[in-house]
Amino acid sequence: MITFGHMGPLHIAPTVKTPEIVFQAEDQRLVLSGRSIPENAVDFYRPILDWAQGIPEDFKLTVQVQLEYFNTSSSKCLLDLFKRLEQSQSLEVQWYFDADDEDMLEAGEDYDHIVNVPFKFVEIDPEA
Amino acid sequence: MISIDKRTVFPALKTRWMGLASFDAHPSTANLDALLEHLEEVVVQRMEDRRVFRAVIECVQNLERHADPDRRAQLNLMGRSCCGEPRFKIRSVNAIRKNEIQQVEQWIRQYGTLQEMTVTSMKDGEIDWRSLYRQCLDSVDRTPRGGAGLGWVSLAKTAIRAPHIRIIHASDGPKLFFSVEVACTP
Repeated sequence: MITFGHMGPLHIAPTVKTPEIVFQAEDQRLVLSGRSIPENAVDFYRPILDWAQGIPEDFKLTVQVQLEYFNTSSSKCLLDLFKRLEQSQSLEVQWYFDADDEDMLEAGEDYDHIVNVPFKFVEIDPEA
Repeated sequence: MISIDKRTVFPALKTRWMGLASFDAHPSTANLDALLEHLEEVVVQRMEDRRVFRAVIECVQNLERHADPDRRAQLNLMGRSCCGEPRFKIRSVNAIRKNEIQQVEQWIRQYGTLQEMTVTSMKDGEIDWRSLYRQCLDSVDRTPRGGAGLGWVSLAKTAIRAPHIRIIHASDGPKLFFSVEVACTP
């Protein structure tokens, strides 16, 4: 198993206001899911940003963002995360959005516009 | 503390504003979490629309961040029908801690700057909220708890018009008034 400095695998359990965040090195996938509306997003995201700092440049990583809601302070922290991961040479962000949720699609497009990371938009069929 | 109108939100909405939910209590985390849960029921479960709830989240968090926790705060969600489409208005009034008045005034000046920026971001006769949002998102400015105006632009991007924010000098001390009107996702 590849470990990233002292961080290694990562799991943050979800709460009603914070997302579940899972990373397993063997999957090479970081998944953020649920809602991200903490009062203090900077405190919440600090460990993830520290963790992201330790990722080797040549590591292949897929970041799956499957958020339902996020507040504006979380949106700044997500941008910080993507910017920290920009240095990775083999990174893809998969941005999930419900077919009827154009605001979430736009939010992903805004990040795609700002950061130098390939984004793939994945539409979720609400009927599925 | 929290009162909810249990009638169907739409199409029962009339052309004049109707109160759908109101909150009048201390803005503790527990109270505001309960408020958010109730408002989600009103605007998501009955309207199946997340845009309005996203605006609600920002407004409730304004109270969480800026309200004096020792004094009562008010938030009202109103709805009306406009040309057959539902519209919502979220209004809040909260007391400001004395030691934070200068900071709040500074934020309001910053919102004034943002309003001036909207003038320069006109494209084809309309404010380019999306460019302004991207500009604010990518800005290095931020406060420990927030995005230094990003919430205001984020709301403005989807609202009928820019949110209204001002300080009211009431007899029992200064209060922050906030109001925004949103339509459902087209």
